[in-house]
Amino acid sequence: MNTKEKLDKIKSGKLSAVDNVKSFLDAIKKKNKDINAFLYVNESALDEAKLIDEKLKKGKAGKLVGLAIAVKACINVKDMPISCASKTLENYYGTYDADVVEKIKKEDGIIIGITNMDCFACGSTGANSMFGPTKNPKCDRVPGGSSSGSAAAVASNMCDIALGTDTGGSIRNPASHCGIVGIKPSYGRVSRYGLIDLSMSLDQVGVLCNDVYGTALMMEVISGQSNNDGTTFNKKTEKYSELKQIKNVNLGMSEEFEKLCQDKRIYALIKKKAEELSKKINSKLVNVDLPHVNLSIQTYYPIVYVELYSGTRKFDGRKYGKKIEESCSEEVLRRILGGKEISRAEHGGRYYRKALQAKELIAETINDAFKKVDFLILPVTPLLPNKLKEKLDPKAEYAFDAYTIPANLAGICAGVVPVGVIDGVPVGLQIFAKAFDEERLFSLMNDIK
Amino acid sequence: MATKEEIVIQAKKIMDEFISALSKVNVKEKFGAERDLQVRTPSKEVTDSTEFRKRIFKNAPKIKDDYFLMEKKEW
Repeated sequence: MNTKEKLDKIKSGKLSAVDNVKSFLDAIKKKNKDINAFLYVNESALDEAKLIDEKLKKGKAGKLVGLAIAVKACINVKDMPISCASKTLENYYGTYDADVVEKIKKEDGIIIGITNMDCFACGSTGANSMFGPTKNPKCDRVPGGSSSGSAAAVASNMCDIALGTDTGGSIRNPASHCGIVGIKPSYGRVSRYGLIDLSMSLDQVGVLCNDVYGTALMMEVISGQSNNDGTTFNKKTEKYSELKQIKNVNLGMSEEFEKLCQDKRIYALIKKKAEELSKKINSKLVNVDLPHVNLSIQTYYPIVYVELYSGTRKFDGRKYGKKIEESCSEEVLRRILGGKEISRAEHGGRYYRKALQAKELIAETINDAFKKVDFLILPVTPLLPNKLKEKLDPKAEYAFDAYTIPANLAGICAGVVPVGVIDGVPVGLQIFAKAFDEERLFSLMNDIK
Repeated sequence: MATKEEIVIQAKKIMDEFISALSKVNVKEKFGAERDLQVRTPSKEVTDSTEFRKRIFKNAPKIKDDYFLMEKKEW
């Protein structure tokens, strides 16, 4: 049953919020020990569902009525443990609801639990959690990260929709590896108030779900300007879930992206699907030049290293339990110590300033491409995910972000839909759209079913 | 797990490699994130701090002799 059918059933009284939540709590009980997608399960979820059923009887129902929503462990939910999957914050309980959580509750969504992730969102495998790795429910590979728990919870039917965050691909990468839908919104579309940040100039809160409708509906709920977050824009939030028909547009693919693909089977699959899509929607598929996108990884990491170092100075052991340097994963420590080192060596703008300049150049390249095409189509990762016990060196792990980072650097929106399986591993197709063009992005994503 | 020293060396090596790749690209000298207004110019040294001292003592929640006591969340 897809999200739309389920909502119709709940609204018409054929399925109660209590029964919906109960089925997920049972599924969590059965599967979570093995998958390790949830770090915390909300004991009060059933009571909250009862209240929503009573509200429904009175004829009042929000957009997410009775749906079970999982939240990544770096987004504040009042009275729930928001540990960022770290030992640093293992005893920290949210003291307030993040803007996005407040909006979900207002629309009668039920927070069913807090999901596992790579420690402080540093990683693209899901193996860097201090509470054990998350398993991919679809295959014997890593689920991807850093929103590993959110993706695995959705893919294994332990919740209806999940929130994740995406700084360089942390929603799209696990969505692809777990065979589900994911979206990174445009920078400034969704409030980050209540998010424990990884890199303030790149982070965005986004959505993971089994279908495009559910993803679009959740985006409709969480989008919008907030007085709590000065980076949000005053842009109209369209009805994304209407999923209008798209026709006669220009779709773009790029040889620069093709060169970056380490597993040619992935690019061949994406190209085939793009050709099928262009025929289906009566659109042109053209090649576009994207100079400099091959430098995305080299641009992104110096920015993330410095901003993570700066953003984590508050975790000095005085206010939040443990000092981060003494209680985090190796990857977090690498980024913090590396960020400290290059901040010291910043004289003359050698690192951070240089990376910010390159960021602007890549953003310009991508925005120029959007003068010629409406959407860009590309893979999500350049190779299939590694096996859970196979440890990658840092640069090999960073290489997985080659196709996802450009969207963060340019501040545009990007979505992922599952399109096939290679060696038993799900593979997603990624679409880039102009900043604040989420409405058309969802419509196109819906055409690739 | 590698030692802190090893991690720093490894991280610095990665950053140097990455930045060296970027050095081949011609980037604009000035860009959006830089604003002249953000540059602070040194002002005259403030010699008379009596006013400031009076004001801060007036605002302090607790005072003992010539210093004030700070308590979390009380300021």
